[in-house]
Amino acid sequence: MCSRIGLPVSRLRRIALDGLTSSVLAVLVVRILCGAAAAATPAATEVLRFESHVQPIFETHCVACHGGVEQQSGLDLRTHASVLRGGASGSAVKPGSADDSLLYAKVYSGSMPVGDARLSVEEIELVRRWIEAGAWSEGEQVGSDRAFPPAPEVSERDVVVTILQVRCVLCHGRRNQEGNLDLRTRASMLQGGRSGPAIVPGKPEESLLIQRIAHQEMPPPESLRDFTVRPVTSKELEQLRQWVRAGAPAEPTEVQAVPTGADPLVSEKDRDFWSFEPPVRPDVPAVGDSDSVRTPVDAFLLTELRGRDMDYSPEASRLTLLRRAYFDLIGLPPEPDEIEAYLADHDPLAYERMVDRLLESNHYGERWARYWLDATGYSDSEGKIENDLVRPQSHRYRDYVIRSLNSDKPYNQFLLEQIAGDELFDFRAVGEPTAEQLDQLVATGFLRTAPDGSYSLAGNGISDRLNVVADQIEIFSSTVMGLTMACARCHSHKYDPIPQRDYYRFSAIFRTAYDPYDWLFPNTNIDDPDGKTVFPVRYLSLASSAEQSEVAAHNLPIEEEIARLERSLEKLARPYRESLFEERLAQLPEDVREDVRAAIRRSSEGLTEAQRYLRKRCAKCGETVSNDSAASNDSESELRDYLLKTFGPVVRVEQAELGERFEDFRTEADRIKGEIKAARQRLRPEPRIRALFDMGGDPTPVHMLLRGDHLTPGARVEPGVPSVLSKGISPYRLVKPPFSTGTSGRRLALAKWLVQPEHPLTARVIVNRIWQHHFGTGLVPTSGDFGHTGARPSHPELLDWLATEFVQKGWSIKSMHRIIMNSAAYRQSSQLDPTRHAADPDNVLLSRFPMRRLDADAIRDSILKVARRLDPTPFGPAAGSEIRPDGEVISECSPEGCRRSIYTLQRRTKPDTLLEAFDAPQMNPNCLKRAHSTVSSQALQLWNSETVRENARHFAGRVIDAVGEDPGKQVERIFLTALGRYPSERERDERTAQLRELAQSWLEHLEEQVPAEPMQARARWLALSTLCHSILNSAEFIYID
Amino acid sequence: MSDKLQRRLDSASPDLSRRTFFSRVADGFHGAALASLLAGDLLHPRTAESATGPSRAHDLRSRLPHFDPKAKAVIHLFMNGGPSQIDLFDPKPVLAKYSGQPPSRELANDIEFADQMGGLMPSPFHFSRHGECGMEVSELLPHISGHADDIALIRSMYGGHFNHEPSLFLMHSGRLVPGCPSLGSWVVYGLGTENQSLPAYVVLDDPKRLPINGIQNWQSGWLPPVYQGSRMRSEGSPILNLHPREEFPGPVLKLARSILADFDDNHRRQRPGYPELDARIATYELAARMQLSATNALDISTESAATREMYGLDDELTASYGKRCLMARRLVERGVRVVQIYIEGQIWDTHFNLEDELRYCCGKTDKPVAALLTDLKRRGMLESTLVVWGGEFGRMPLSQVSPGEKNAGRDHGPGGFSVWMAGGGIQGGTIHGATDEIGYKAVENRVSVHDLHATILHQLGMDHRQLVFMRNGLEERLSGTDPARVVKEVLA
Repeated sequence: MCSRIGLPVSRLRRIALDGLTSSVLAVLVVRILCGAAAAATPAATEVLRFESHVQPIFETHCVACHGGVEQQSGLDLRTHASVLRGGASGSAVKPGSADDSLLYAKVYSGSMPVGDARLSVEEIELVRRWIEAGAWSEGEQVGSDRAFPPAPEVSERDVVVTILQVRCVLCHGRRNQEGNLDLRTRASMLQGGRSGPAIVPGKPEESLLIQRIAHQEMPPPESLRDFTVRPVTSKELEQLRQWVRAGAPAEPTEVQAVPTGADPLVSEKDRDFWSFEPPVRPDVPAVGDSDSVRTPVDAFLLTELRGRDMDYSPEASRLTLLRRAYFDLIGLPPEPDEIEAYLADHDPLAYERMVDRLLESNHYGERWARYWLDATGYSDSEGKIENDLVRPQSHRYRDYVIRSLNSDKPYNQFLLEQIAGDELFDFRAVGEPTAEQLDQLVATGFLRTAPDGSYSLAGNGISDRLNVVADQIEIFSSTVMGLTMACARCHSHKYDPIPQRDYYRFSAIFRTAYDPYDWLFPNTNIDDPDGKTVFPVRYLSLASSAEQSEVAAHNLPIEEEIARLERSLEKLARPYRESLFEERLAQLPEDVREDVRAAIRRSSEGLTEAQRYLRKRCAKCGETVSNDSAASNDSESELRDYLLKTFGPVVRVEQAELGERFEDFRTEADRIKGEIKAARQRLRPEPRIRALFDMGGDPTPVHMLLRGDHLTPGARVEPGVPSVLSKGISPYRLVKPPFSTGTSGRRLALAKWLVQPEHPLTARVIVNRIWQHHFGTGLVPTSGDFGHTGARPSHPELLDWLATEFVQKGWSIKSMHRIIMNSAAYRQSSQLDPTRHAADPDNVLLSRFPMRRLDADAIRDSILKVARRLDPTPFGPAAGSEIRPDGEVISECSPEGCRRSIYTLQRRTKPDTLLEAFDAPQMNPNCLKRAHSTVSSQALQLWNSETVRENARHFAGRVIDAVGEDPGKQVERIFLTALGRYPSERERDERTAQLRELAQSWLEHLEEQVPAEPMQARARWLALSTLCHSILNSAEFIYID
Repeated sequence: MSDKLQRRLDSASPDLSRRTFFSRVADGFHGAALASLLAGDLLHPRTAESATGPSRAHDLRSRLPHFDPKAKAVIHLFMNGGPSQIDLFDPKPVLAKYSGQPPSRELANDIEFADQMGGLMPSPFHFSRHGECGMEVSELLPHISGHADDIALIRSMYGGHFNHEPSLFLMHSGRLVPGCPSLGSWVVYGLGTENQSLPAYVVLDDPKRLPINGIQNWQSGWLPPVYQGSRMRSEGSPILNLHPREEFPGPVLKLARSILADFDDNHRRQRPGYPELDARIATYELAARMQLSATNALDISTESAATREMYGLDDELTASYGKRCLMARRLVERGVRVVQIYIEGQIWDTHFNLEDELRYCCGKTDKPVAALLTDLKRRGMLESTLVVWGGEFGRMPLSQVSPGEKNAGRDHGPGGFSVWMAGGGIQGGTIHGATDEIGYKAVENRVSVHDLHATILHQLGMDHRQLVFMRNGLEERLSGTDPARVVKEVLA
């Protein structure tokens, strides 16, 4: 059968309607026919008219948003003329072709109307038929010529935003004004540059701008190559001409602002939503028996429970609580001696004091920073593009977070620094910043976490940059405000009252630092032959002198070692190179052979003229043999090229060739190169700060982007916060800080707006996440979405009480831990009681403590900890990762052990295999709550991975070191170390017996192998490590009661 | 007992009371009984649960599709780098007339390396008609062209980005950015799989090199990780840590397992009502079973000499890709839902030396791909297996240097390219859509990547609009908010 199908889709559908097959289409046919019977569908031959057939559909489904006061995307669907005129996305309807009509595509695909309502199949079919027939109205003669609305005029905005801004401002903009020309505005174009005005209104052919582009002189061809600037298309050139021809009209000052009175896009009713209104501190309810109330948290929870004739579960055992608290606060199991000491402490407040001790531990910050870094999407690499550029200074932000949490930095201060650390002081004017000021700059790393491919040509388009900004805004709004704003980037939010206008107002706050048209690159440095700053980077070369000298002192011996190694490599290579060189030389014509040799090997003195000449020309070849070669002279490059072409390929000896040719050289050279590489990795980079900072000056204006596309700019907006968040708080107030070097103050104003004590979201969102990390689920289960689609709080009063208490306690996070962990709720057993479970199946009321699996980091850290392989070194550059031949990614360890997971390199493309298997997030862009999957790859990792087996052997070794050879004591020690409890009598006996069996099996195995070392002792050690391995794989090890 | 808990328990043992279930689990290592119980249940789709209900459990049990499927499995032959449609499936003889002429501004604007523009470049290869349908295919694909009547060729695909990374993301996950679930993840989220001893979604990557975007191509994004693609290596141990580097001696292993079983059984007994503990025990059993089943599935030594020859295993050029094609058939035969085969790095990225490089790419893949179609067909599997062939984009009708030169090649062309499908309810011998006269842009019956995805889902019995996942309160779909339509014109 040969069926070249070229029929338009709509014709096929018509065939289907005529009764032709295809089972699915048949269903459609049936539905349409049924619909026809019910809704009096016009006969198939009738030409449909707007007023009678389509308008009623639009009235019902569409005009609420596309008509009247609101005309989303500039589209008005009320009249025939306005429908044909289309909206901001161009024409909505193409008469005669439903498939080319945007309106039809939207309703057919179900993407319009928004929300749950959809047009029925019959309605969609009517719309299609109306368009296909020509989209006629009642008054029109079918087939008559129709005067289509004129093509929209080209505006200054179109020209500047979609054509010039994406190409020209790199060299003719804020940072550089080549030829004194600035192409950012109409005014600056009229003013022109060294060659005169860029445009002559009304006369496109006399306008230099047009001429240069038309002759393909601009953008310059080399910029096409170097900066991925794309040529101007003929359509765009025509638009430019059209604009100039029309007199280069100025952009009407249409800033879409939030009106001071009623906001047509956000109603008062929209603001009446629990999370958009400030928290009101409730009274702590009175509970009958005050004994069960340990902290006010209990009063709220018990009120709910008792209202349903329920109560808490009994208190968990002391050791259960000890283990729970350790993992909750420091992410590591308690040590055997800590367990013994705790059991010996009979003080009634022993538990509370233990919680206090843990809060003072430096490991606390390492545990809780993980949660904050998850939320902020922290990663040590840029991602997006294949080579996944590493962020060499990102650890400074990670360390800032850990230190801030350890010192219980007030959360309002914590936010202020991360959002606007650069605007808290005049960082450009300060000579040597104080440690605190450095911290404030480092803190802005919070706004540099989004994946960013702009370090590569492939990820550096304007839309790529806009995606980075969008990701960062999403991270910000979900982490700090518990709102998902991403939808509003392309259209007004479907569910929450966040119009598209407000999204772009919000993004304008960041524009002074995050400007897609004036981009700061993620690369640490970019070589530019001319030394121009065309590629400014986002690193600040600021460091305390102490830090600088510390790095220098660290690096000096390593640099010396590298130099020594390089010398020894060179010394090693010399004889091999010489012999290869002689071989090569022998291939030259005999006449020049000696000249070339002499030119290359002897010093300049005593050479003949010709030899000197050759030596100069062949300087490059000379380097391969002689170290004292003369420098080449650029002015003679032409001759040099000639000679290099002639002799170079013949006599030149490349380093790689030596390795290929001489195996003994290769072996030794590889060893030295390995050492050099290892030494280089130990070098610490020059201390710089990867920061977000206000670039000063006038930022590029921010336009709303229709459908999020930078080529369809809409109205201009000014910085602002979502209009819906205005109840009971001070508005966003922009105050320019009085700094000599200039900063806009936009983010500082945002930070100050957010940390108002009455802010509806700030405190609620963070106390909810603290709660989530203790109980597994937040009081608002959707911790990143406090909006309409998110879940409502299970205990609204408790949430508000905590939020207000948090502020009253000076925004202290540690005070929240105390209130939560000292509560009776937290101290309940996780044992599931059938009656309670039936009444509260999802444990919403917290009638028990939820049993939980450890997260990835805690699992890895605990394995290392019990094996005594945890290197406790805090802070600093991350431990690198290596990929084993089988593909397993593990982090590099040193003789001191392996570092905690938070200190290992978190590279997007090379996630640690064990962490990944246990749901470590991918950070695209961030993660507010980790998943807990149960999949067989976890079993494969824990059971078969050599890393885990090795740690089991370490574990066993440390147990023997601690308690000797008594199997009973060994079993007890293993239980205490790994599970935080003593074995029962039965367990001790059973495990001891199993240990004996294991030892016997290992012994039999060893007897076959006949190893040199004592077999009995080795068999017992291997038996113990096998038992340890099983424990590391056990559910009890990775679950917390 | 809560609904949720009841459901979880139901899923473990539909026929037994909970008490009997637990007592049976207690025999042996995590209960061989449990394993067979779970497997038995998992093999049979439960009719009550819709594929994408709001509160469904996340596992790989086989699920009912939205409607009767044509295909049970998909083999995606992913041709990384962007195969040149103009030289393989979409002849443009008119290019000979314009050879060497500079392109229009529009074309120039779409080129990655704008400084490398050598003018229009006709194909150096000869096309001829094949099959009853007379499909024009390049001389480079003598084997695949023998299947012209099995293939539906779409000549009007278009992408969304000029570079590899975003285009790969688009082709795999329907979005230009990383972090979204791949097509395969969506499929197994919707349908589960028929063999619980093998991964549901298998990726056979080239041992020489991962494709661009690496493992991100088959990640589950924000879908639960259980739906992620599993890399099975065609050399050495097929799955990471499927076997330890050095296994315990037999008796030790047996003891070690029974000790773990003791631990976990005690632990679980003391914590009734936490079904995830049962699930965890089951994962250890599955992992152990997988050691055998995955190894067997990829063991091609049992295949006949004729089959091995057909896939080109005895020829160095075709052996590597042929092996993966043959493995794909074995996996699908065993009930694996989605298999994706990659080829080293991005060899189809023929910027330069197109003539030689394309010969190499086709030489490596043509025979194995044709063998796969033949093999599936003769085993009666082609009807239920959808085979998809294509890259992330096509190539430009332009050369990057003067087209006459020996090293001439083509830049990326997302504007119009060819993809073909076969089996799984596809109408063979179909040609759908067309590019413009020089093969630069799809102009007739344009097919977006979302349309292609919708069509693949449709053949598997799923409606792309109904396959949703609730995330942050929003309904997420493979096609996102973009419109998509099933390309019904290529369906039987």
